[in-house]
Amino acid sequence: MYGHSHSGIGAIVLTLVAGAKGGIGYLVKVIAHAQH
Amino acid sequence: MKISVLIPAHNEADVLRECLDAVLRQTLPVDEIVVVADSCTDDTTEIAKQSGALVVETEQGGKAASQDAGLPYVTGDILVCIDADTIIDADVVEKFVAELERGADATCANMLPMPQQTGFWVANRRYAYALGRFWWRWCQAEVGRLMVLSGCAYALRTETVRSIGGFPGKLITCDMDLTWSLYEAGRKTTFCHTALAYTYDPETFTVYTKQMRRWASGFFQNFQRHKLAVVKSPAAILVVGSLLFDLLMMPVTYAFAILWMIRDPWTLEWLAISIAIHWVISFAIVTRTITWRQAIVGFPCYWVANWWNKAIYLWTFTREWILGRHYVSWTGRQGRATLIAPMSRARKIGLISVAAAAALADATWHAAAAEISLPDTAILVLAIAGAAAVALSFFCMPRYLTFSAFLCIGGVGGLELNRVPAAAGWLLFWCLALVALTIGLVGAVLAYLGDEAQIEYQRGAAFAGSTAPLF
Repeated sequence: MYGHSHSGIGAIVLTLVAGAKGGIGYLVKVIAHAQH
Repeated sequence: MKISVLIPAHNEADVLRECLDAVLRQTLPVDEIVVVADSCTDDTTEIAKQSGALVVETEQGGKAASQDAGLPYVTGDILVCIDADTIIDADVVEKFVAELERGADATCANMLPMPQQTGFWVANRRYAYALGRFWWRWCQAEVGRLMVLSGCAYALRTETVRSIGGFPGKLITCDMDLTWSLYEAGRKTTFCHTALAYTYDPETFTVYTKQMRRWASGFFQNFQRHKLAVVKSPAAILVVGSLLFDLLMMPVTYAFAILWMIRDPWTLEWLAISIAIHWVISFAIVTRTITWRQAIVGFPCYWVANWWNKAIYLWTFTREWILGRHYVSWTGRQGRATLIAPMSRARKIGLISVAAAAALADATWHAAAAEISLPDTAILVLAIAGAAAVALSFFCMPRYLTFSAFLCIGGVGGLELNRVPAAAGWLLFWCLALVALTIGLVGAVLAYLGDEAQIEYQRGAAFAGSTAPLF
């Protein structure tokens, strides 16, 4: 809990937000790469 | 670009040599090593000199203060900070420098317990670190707010740490204080998950619990100090707020789950399914870092230890934020004095007054609803208010007294709720109230003596914490 692990509803929210942000970032990179 | 390594050490002769050897084996050679020998009585200084390090001898009594003592001697542009009981992989400095060159102001490695370490608590920690590497810390880094730069191995620009006035060392966990201070100063910190550092993790229940108490205290102290910066940042609200929310919701969630289980035993199936899902997902993640065997052994240890961690965090939340008793000096492997500051008189009076007022209101309401006679109502009100007040005074007492008080109050509360008018019930009620009041009176005397004893202990300790208020 010192920053190495989370658990609970908040942890699920954090995972979803981070996953979405990471996923969008990855898509942006892929699209940018395809355009070049 | 010049690279410096700063290692604070207090009687680390047993482990310092392997730490320095790892630094000297780096694929990107470091330009200077500064070892701060803090009040050392062993061979720490000689070992450091043999490895070609610049040794700064000091008597600081703390990690951050030692780092600060070494900072004026640092001439490099990039500062790599390593604990003396940590071994870094050969490519860690190279990866740190690459991360800083990409624009980060500070970065840190992922920790793992020393490979030769075994046992329940180490297996739990190995699993937790491996899980954090590709899940929780990855999530934190992705949303832009690391909870903490791993204190055992991190790097930052020397200018960065100087710009915030050096290493902050007032709180019990200086690495978290540094991390949150960097965010407050608008600096960018990243997690270098490919860099691995190995450290000596607690092997026994006692040492593990002491470490978790310190970490938990550090979390709440940091939140208290940096609360304004936290609420201003959406990323901080998400990372820190979700952790706090989960912690405070935990008793409610599990109480609800247990009640549900009592009503419907088939809920156990759902519990088993949720554990299995957790196991499968986390297993897939941790085996990217640790072996299958370590993962199989580690999961049950991690699962059980997690409960203990949460209990420690909940108790620490109460102690740090409600009771205002701050953990100000800690014991490491070298046996430094542990000190938890006593509760202030104003806070004691405030808490007891609030409890007494609440108990008074509650008792009055119940007595009125039960239509008890006026003298009985007055006695009931006084007994419950007194019992609640003295029970709260136990928060500055040894724990067995606290538990005794809670048992008494629980008994009184239970009887009150059931409103037992029978003679036997009243007799039991008075006995419990009498016991609570007696313990309370003894407790009040012990509380006073206990506070004095703690202050004396602090004065006599070799490594005393500051007596100045933290906040």
